[in-house]
Amino acid sequence: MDSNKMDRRLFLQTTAVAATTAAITTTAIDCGKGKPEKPPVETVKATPGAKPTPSVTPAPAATPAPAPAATPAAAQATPTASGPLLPSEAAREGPLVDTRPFKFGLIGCGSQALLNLLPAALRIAGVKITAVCDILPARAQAAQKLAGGQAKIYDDWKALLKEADMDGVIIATPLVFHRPMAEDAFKNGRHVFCEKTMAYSIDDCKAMLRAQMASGRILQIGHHLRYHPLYYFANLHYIINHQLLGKISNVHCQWNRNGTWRRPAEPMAGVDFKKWGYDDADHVINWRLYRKYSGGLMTELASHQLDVVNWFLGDQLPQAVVGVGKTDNKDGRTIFDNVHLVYEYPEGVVMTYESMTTNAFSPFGEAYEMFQGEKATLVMAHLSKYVGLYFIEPGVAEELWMPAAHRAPLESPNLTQPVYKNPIILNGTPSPGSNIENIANLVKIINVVNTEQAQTTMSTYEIELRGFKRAVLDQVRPYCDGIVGLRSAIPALLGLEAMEKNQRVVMNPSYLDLSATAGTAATTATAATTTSTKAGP
Amino acid sequence: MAAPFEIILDVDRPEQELRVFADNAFEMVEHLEGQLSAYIPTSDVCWINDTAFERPARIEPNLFELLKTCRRLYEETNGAFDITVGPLIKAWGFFRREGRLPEPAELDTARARIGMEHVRLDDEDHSVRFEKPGIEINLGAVGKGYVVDRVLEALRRWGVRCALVHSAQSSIGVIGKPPVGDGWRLGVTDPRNPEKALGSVVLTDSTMSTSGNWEQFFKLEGRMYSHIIDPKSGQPAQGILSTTVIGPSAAVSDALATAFFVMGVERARQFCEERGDIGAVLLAGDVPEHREIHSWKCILEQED
Repeated sequence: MDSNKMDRRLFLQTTAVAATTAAITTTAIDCGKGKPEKPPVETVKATPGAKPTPSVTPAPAATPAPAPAATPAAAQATPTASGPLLPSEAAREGPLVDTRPFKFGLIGCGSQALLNLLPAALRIAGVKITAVCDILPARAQAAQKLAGGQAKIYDDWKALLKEADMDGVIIATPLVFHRPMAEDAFKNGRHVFCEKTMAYSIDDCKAMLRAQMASGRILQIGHHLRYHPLYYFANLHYIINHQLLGKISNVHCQWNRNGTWRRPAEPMAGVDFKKWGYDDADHVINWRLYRKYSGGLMTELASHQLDVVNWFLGDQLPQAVVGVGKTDNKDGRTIFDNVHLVYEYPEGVVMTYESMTTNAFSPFGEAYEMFQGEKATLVMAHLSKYVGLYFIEPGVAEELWMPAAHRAPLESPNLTQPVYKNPIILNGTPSPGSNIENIANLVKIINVVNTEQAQTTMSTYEIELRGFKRAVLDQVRPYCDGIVGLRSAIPALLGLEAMEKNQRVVMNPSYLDLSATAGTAATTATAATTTSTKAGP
Repeated sequence: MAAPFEIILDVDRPEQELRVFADNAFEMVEHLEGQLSAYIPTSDVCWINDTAFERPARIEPNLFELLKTCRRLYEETNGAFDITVGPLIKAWGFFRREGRLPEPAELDTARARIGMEHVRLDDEDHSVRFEKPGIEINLGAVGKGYVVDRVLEALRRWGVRCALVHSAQSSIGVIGKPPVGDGWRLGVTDPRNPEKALGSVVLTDSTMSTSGNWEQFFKLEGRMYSHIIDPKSGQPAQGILSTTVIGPSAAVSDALATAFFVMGVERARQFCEERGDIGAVLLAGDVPEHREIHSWKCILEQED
């Protein structure tokens, strides 16, 4: 059986089995990588929510899922508040106004938390931040202030996980700490929202999943582009429902910046950073630059885009990867800050990836993912003003598919605000090499005109955190759960391994087998992880 | 804001370090634009406008402080500075940057939807709430200065002792003195001739903001209309060609540069006299050929 054709069903089956019998078995089910071919009936029954992958069909449903009593596994997995999670439903986003109270704890008050996550959480009705944790007092105080001054401050994450009064914890710490913190959270019966990339190694990801399954708690990974309305729309409507690109042969992603990617030093007096697993004061602030804590560009930036590629290619995984990485900023950093990779996906799809810190030239803004099909090219660029653009190939009759492009997506009961209507389509010919502002008037632009105010003003961070709140309160599987997290971590970690070993790295089915431990670099938990586990009381 | 932003640092330390400061400062500028811009749908400002009538919108403390500053300035300028003036600006077509004469009925409708007194700020949970439907805020007249302030604050925190930052040259902030000279010598622009300065002022650890250039006027049926609207009358401000305000905070100097345009020479003079920390240069005159320069609490050095 071809490992690359395994899809989420495999894991969901595993989840259901593990949750009920505590035995981790992996039954490989080839479901034809999630294209609309009919999956085995048994599978559908066994895991109703797993039936369509989110990329194939709109995930079901704000409406209650069908009763899952058809199989023993599902029948035992009763969705009670403390019981095992029933993977019957994907919570993409919660209802727009859900005033039910929800208390967040936060570990890691760095810029991701202070600039993105906390402000987004505060927009959600009913949400309170009750506990914040950072080893730097100034950071924790800033988070407390942001949260309205009522959050309790911790410097020890173990204490927060043990005692804090919260419904779910956000882990926004350096990559290497994700696994020990998540494991400890599940041990304490906590629901976890963990920033991407899921973990430092494939083994770490799997350990997190095992801990989550044993606890029956929720795990969501912060791949926020999964929650971007236009990404969701473009994939569902353009690629899947109307197949406007035709067969996709190539994908190119880029995330280029011109800057040091370094943060200025901060006061560190009185902070025992060694106790918390850091070798050096600079490592606390600039952990992204050191391999001991992070995978550099691959895990801090690229994984967002690699997640999108997996997703848009029908929730597939690459079969192999080669790459070249180098370090342009000679300031003692130990990660690659200039990476170039070639991934082989199933069915002959090739994806090239580049990310650098010493040249920001780009035709589509800082970051983009470009899907090249026989009929058209789709460019997604979440940081640019025009999130999605498509370019029709010469000779393809526009009228054949323009009406389709104008059509609203299939009504999705999962989307509480089905507002992705009336994309603006402008006509013209793209002029190569020009920047996005100039070509904006010339090419076909996917943009959304909608009158529903809340949708226009909602950041992806807010949507994903609303989704988390709903997943926890309603005990439904998050749209970007640990399975998606593992699958999106794989290309990032394999790419790193390919560059570090300077060799072609091949996808191994055991990476998806939660019971197996494999011996490759990408799958081996590191010494750093062990250290961090030991750190703290 | 969509304005160019520039940071000038003294090379008193390794260039690599300065690059780190600049990188982080520009990242901050970008983030703040994403928070404040009325043109970015996910910004806090758009979110406030969309939700704050229905329920209180909790916002981050720095933005909350900025809104409090705006309310204080609204009161101190008797409504000449008003961040809720958006509906009037839209009626005059300036939001889309194309001027037009609105119908009187349109103006009445717009005027019914403005007034900072309808914006409630709650210190308890730093939330903002609109007490009337149709209210909206726009930080266009204060945002550039606020971003300058935030960047100055960060640079100081990082140990920078000599810097000049500006947003589109209309809001400027300086730290310390330049490597040569008593202070930063900044030109006050002549709106008629942007290449030539009206004169210059010398600043240390201060900020300066300017309002009014020919791009901010539009001509209709032979008359010049300013893009700055008097919130009280609903009409474009008249009689002032440009304002330059010096003060300890760029957000405040930016806001007052707009307010003085509306307030005119006498009220601006009175304001500066009452407030010890504010200085100003006003260029008055309905047409560029007849103009007078007024300056208070600052030394305008003129070349000729």
